[in-house]
Amino acid sequence: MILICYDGSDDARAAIDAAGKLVGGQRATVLTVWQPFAEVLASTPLGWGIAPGVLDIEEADTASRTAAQRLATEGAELARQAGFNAEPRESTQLETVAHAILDEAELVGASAIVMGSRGLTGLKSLLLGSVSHAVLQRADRTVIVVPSPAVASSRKRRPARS
Amino acid sequence: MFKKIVWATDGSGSADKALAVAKMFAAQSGGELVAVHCEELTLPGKGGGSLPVAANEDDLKAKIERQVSDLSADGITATLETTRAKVGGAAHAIANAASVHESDAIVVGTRGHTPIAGLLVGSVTQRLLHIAPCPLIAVPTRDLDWNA
Repeated sequence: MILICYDGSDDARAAIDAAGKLVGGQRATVLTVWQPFAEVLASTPLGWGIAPGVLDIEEADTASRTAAQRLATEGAELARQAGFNAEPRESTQLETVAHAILDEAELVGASAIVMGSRGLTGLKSLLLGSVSHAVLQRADRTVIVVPSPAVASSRKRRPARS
Repeated sequence: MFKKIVWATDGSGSADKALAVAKMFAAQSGGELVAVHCEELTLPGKGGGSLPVAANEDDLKAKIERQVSDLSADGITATLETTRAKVGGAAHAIANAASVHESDAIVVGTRGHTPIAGLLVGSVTQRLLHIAPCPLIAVPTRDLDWNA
């Protein structure tokens, strides 16, 4: 069983293609993680201040869940084209996206986690953090991180900075 | 299918775990395996000379050479490429090798020799996340069951 993380980005699509070449033919779970609206509010400066009466949290979460389901279904379809026996899954993050991914990997007994690299470098990657970093840090299974074709080609034949 | 895979090794136990996975992929795809070892050198001292960062560099090299010839014995086309870099430059040396060889993937362990960074994910692996020109397959030191 392979766990493929899918958020609809080019990197995630590239990850499915690369994974198909490496470990295609296996069963796969295609996971899209969504953020509960309460979490979104908690991480904004205004916090709960804008919530009462303005937004229906339940409605927002339903919309997020539906969007995640749609993405996961799209990812599973791509995974099937790449040779996997794939099923879609959506999951909500309880702590961080990385935790949600690791929990799901544990749940489905994945032998490997496949994810796209966002191609961030240097300061940007430090500031924005990186899901792939966080997953690598904690995973007790193989993690395959795939750059999108654009990112991969931009990294080719770069002179060493050593 | 994958034609060429780079196995990045520093001669550590973590790299051995990665080798098992690299070997599996190479065997499955009938592809070629390129072992890349980067000898990290200290900054030049007063006399202008540099020394390998790893005190047992010769032993490590001998071990890696043995592993590569074992691969050939197992019917896997395997070559060894040894590069040198200043301390901290290993990740770039590995990424360059993957680029030159037009490698389809880099297989690496998530714990290396570097003692402090090794408490977290190996610093080389972490840097490779940002500079690898192809998919990076990071294999943890803790065991995995590929048949699950």
